Formats: sequence, C-alpha cells, structure tokens
Amino acid sequence: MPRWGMVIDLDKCTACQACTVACRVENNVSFAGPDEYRRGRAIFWNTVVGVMEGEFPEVRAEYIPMPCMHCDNPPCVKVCPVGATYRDAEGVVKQLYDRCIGCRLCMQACPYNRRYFNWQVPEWPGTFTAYRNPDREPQPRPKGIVEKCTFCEQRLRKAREEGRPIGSDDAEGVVPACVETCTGGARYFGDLDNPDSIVSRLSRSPRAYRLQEELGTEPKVYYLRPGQWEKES
Amino acid sequence: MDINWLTQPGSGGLVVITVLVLCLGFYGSLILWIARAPKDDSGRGEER
Amino acid sequence: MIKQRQQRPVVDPRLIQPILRTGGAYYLLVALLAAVVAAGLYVWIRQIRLGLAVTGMNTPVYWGLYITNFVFFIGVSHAGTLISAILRVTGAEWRRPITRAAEAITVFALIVGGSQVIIDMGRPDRVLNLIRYGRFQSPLLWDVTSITIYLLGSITYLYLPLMPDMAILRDSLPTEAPGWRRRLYRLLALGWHGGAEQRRRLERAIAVMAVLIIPIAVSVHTVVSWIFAMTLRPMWHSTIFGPYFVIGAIYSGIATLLIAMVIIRKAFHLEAYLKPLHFRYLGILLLTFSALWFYFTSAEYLTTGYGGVPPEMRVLNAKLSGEYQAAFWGMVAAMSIAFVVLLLPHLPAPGRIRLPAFRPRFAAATGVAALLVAVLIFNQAGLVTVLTDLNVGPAAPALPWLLAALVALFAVSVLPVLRQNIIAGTVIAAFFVDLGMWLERFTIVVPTETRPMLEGYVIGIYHPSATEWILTAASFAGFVLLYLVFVKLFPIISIWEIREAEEVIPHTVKKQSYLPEVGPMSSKG
Repeated sequence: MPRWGMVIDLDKCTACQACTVACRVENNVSFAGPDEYRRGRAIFWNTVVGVMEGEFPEVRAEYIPMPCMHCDNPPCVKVCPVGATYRDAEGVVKQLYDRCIGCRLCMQACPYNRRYFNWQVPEWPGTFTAYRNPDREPQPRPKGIVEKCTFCEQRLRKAREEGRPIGSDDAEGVVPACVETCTGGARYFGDLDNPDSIVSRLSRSPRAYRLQEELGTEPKVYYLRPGQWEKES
Repeated sequence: MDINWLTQPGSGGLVVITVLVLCLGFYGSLILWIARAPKDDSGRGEER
Repeated sequence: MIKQRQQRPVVDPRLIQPILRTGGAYYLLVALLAAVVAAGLYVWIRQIRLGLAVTGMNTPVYWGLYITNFVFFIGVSHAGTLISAILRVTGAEWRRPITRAAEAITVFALIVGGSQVIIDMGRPDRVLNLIRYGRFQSPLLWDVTSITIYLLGSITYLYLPLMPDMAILRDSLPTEAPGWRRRLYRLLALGWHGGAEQRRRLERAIAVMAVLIIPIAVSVHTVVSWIFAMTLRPMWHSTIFGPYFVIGAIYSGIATLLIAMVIIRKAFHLEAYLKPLHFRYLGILLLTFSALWFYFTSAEYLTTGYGGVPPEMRVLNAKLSGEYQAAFWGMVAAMSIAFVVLLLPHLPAPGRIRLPAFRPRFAAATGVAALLVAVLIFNQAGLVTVLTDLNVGPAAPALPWLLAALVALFAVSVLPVLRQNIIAGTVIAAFFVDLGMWLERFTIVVPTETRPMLEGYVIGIYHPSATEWILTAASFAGFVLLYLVFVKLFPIISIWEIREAEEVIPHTVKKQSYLPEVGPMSSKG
C-alpha cells in the first residue's frame, strides 16, 4: 500500500499562491467574499503563511505553503465523536461530509489549524460560478460541517480507476492540484514508503523538516529548508 | 475485544445506550422499590 | 422513628403558600422571561437557517459564547451535589431547608447547559450520529455519557425526597385547589403511605444516591474540562483542568444557590426557614472554595508564566495585558471582591478590636473614589474611552496603589454592615462569584483560540454577535423560567425533612437553631 506524502521545497517556492487558488477551484471550495473574509471565515484548504523574523535591516521572511499535514498520528481523528474524519489505508486523512455534526472539536485538536468550517451556505456569486469544478465530486459542502485538504482524493481515485500512475516521479503522474500548478516546481507528491520515489528521497534530505514534529503527530508534509542568502561584501 | 474497539464508530453509541439503560433500570428500580414498600403490620400506615 | 399521632399534622401554610397563591408580580416576571426565551428561539431558528455565520465565530476562534455558557451552566449544576449529597453524607443537619432548591438548580442547569451544545453544533439535525457512530475515544462521548448519568441521577435525587412531600400535598391540599394539581400530586406520590418499611427504604435509597452522585458529579465537570485539555492548544493542554473545573463548578453552584435562596426567602416570606445561619454556613463554604479557586488559578498561571514557553506566553499575555485583559482582570477583581466580602465578617472577634460604626457617607465617598480611580486605570490601558482627553501623566504608576488604598478604606467602612447583615454580604459576594466564574469560562475558552501554536498565524479576533448575546440572555431566562415553574408546582422547602429534623436533631442549643422558628402555625402537630 502506498503511503502518500508531500514535499515542499521552500527554496523554489515564490509564494505566488497559485497552489491556494488551484486547490479552491479543483475542490469547489466556497467563495467567501470581502465581508466574510474580513470576518475570518474564508476557507483555504491550502494556505501560504508568512513568518517574519528579525528587525530591519536584517529581516527574514519565510513563506510556508500549508496544506493538511495528513498526519500518521492525527489528533483530529482521535477526537472526532462520530468518526467523520478518518485516516484511510493509504495515509490520507479524509472527511465524511454526510456524518459530520459540526462540533468543531477536530478543528480545536489540529495543532496546525488546517481545518475549516462552513459557517454559511456556500455560494458563488455572479460570474464566479464559472470556476466551479463540474465533476461529480467534489461537490460543494453544505453549511455546518468541517472540511479540509484531502490530497485531492478525487484525482487519486480517478487515477486508480483509470490505471494511471500517481506521483511526481512520473511525468504523466496524477498529483494534487497544488502540486500540478506550482509555478516554481516546488511541490512534490508521492509514496513515502517507496524508497526510490522523489518524496521519499527528499524527505531524507538534510534540508528536510516537518512542522511541529515534537508533537508526535507524524505529519506527512515535508519542507526543505531554504538556503541562506549571502551578502556580497 | 482489544482497546482499538474504543476508536471504532458505534462504540460510543453502544456505551451511551448501555449507560442509559443501566441508569434507567437502576434509578427506576430504586424508585419502584420504595413505592412498592409494604405497609406496617398494624394495617394503618402513618400519614406523613 | 415513628411518632404515633392521632390526627394528621398541620402543614405550615408558608410552605405551600407559593404553590397555591400567585401574585401579579409572578405572572409579569414569567411573561418577561418568556419574551426573552421567545427572542432566543427566534434567533436560534434563524441561525439554523443561515448557519453559524450569524455568530462572531471564525477562523481560528471556532468556539465562543455558546461553549462558554455550556461550561458555565454545567458548572452551576454542581450546586445540588454539594449541598444535598455532601452535606447529607456528612450529617450536616442545617442543610434541610435548602436541599430541594439546590437539587432543582442542578436539574435545570444541566438541561440549559446541554442545550448550549445543541445550539453550538453545525448540524443539530445530526445529533443522533453521536449514538449511531459515536466513538468512545472522543472526549465528547465521555461528556455525553457522564452528563446522561448525572442528569438521570439528579432527577432521581430530586424526585426521591419529593415523594413524601407529594403525599403530604396529595392529602392536605385545600378543596378549592384545581383538580389537575390533585392528580399531579397523586401521580407523583406513587402511592406513598409512609409506613416504617417504606420510610426505611427511602432513607436507604437517598443515602445510596447521595454517595453515588458525588463521584458522578466530579466526573462530569472533569470530562467537560477534558474537551479542552485533551487538545494540544497552549493553556488548554493542562493537567490541572480536571480539578480546576470541578472546584470552579462547585464554587459557582454554591453562589447560584445563595442567589436563589435569598430570592425565595424574600418572595415567599420564608424567613423562618431560611435563616441567617444558612447563609453564614454557605458563606463559609463559598469562602473555602474561593480560596481553593485562587489556589488553582495561581498554580495554573504561575507555572505557565514561569515556564515561559512561547506559544503559552502569547496566550498568557493576551489575557494579562492583551485584548482580553478586561475579561481577565475583571474576573480577578470580581473574585477578589467576593473573597474580601466573604472574609470580612469573620475577621477579628468582636470585643477584641473596636469596630468603627458604619459611616454611610465615608463608605460612599471611598467607594465612588475607588470606582473613579478604576475607570482611570482602565482608561490608561485603553479599555474604556470615556475620558479620552484626560492624561494622568506621571501619576499613572501611583494609580493602582491609590486604588488599593481606597478599596481597603471602603472595605473597613462597610465591615460593620457586613457583620450585622450576613445575608446581604453573602449574596453580594455570590453575585460577584457567578460573574467572575462566567468571565473565567470566557477567558479560558477564547484567548487560547486567538493564539494558534504555529508562529506566523494571524491573531484571531472574536466579537460575539447579537445572536450570541440574545441566546445567552435567553438561556439565563430559560433557566429562571424553569425554576419559576418548579416553585409553583412543588414546595421549594422539603416539608417532611423539616419535620423529621425535629425528631432527629438532638436537643442542643446549636442544633435546635437549625430548626425553623416556632411560630403560631408551626409544623408541629
């Protein structure tokens, strides 16, 4: 059984946020609008977080794209009262939208804050309906339930059904929308249990690290540390 | 029945229903036990 | 112990007066509360239609007032447990007139508290999924289980001592009383006849329930706390939460009971039954739990602050000096006021130190001055903007000391009043305790959510919406409304337990003081 993981090379990432947009289009993430965005209700299955360090002129800015970490020891799965979130056999943490009761305990449990709640009925005003993914899945979620990144499970399922390869190793490999669209080629997807795959090799790189590893959640999204810029004296 | 049973959907429901039934049974029987107490031998119960 | 009586003993009319006669004020109050509850129902239905976007909750503040109220009400439900159960088990005879009032609070607080969860859920229509797919690994399922046991147990614990009183009402109801009342009491009496064996069984059952309900209640608020503590969030993931919440629960429970008692006492003229000693003893218990609360709170904040772990410090600073300082320091102030007001009457024994006479003008002056200084301090901190142009400048560091001095003077000046009027003092403290406890629940729930562990994450902002405030008001109104219905149907003071006291309590002067005042119409046969 493959164990799907992701690697994001922070040296190649330009923080263009194409991944965030591609994800929302692919997965029919609802449109928030400026009011709801200001109220903090916009949904970003993938988000790019900016961390500023240091004081001028020695400022360091780091931009970290964050999808769901798809932890191997997911705290969200542990606390869900109805099993609406679960980790499947291939390590993808999925949602059962029909079962979720909207208690939001999983959202509290996630130490990465990567889960989102549908505070209202999803809508696509005006011309934005053109961005909806017409595929049978993923359907827009109703209000009152939790959703999050699923490593584009619909793409993975279709690939399996059609017998196409999955992962960044193959030029024709099916990968999540964020990986496919990345303008800097910074994102990789593949089987962590296959020692020859790109993600597996990169995850063993000395530049590799994971967010909040000390918590024991065993996240499967690896980051490659960006290099240091040297000032020419 | 290993500990993993607790993580399965439905386990919680089973516990809650069992607890509900046990509680209703216990408290209910307690109340009935009192309500059905026999009167004194003197045949005249004290009205309190 | 059976007293052979030739005639049926007379029931003190004061104990059934509230049931039989209803004044206009009652109907007015019910109408007002019903209106608030109706408003709550309206906004709730609107929330179901439009989704939780009508609240102020967002990313990352996923829980707000509803969960605050949930924890608060479940906490208040511990009133009955402490008074009824622990005092019964320890043989504290003074508990007799207040057990039913306490047990009623428990049942209704549990019902209102449980409803908060339904209000907060995204999909309340799927609540049965908790049974169909419930996972016992989840703290929410522990919650459902323990609250189920506690609610059913509390109803039983309320009902058992009610049975003899139902029989008394069944037999003593005046003929002009409505027929439905007669039927109700006959039904609920379950054929109570008061025989020796039956009385023995009742005592036994109550004793068993009293012992059982204590660990059940402790488990309830412990698992409620674990909904927070089992996550990894800073200042939630704390081992102290279990005991901390239980202490806080009993604390707010006693306070709520005191407030209920003083209203019942006044409204139904039950001064002979709810005596100053009841307020004094409950006041001592409240003082004890106040000390315990301060102990646990200090332990929690000191260890967090001393450790200095960055994610936790961000939350701590949000509470101490950030946007939640009003809630936090308001809580500390309320609890401190309560502690001082409760402690003052027990300070130096009379005669040893000459107490100043109460000087109303001095008290008013120091009180108002203290209030003004407090406003100045809040103004400096930017929490209120009443005096935007006022600049205290170099005097600013002296303000807290000035406040402390004024408060001390005020405390000394009202000391004589508190000593003479134990009821007023205790109830004033109780109000501050309940206020402080609600603020405590708020400061536990919200600030942590606004400071996600991962650095770089935006700080959350939470402004409760009108919907949330209305539903909060409706919850409190609903609680009081349920209580008002209860006192109209059932005697709020346990008639037979008072009677039993006269037989059971030894004839010492102190213990005799627990008995109601002997008047022209006492309950003696």
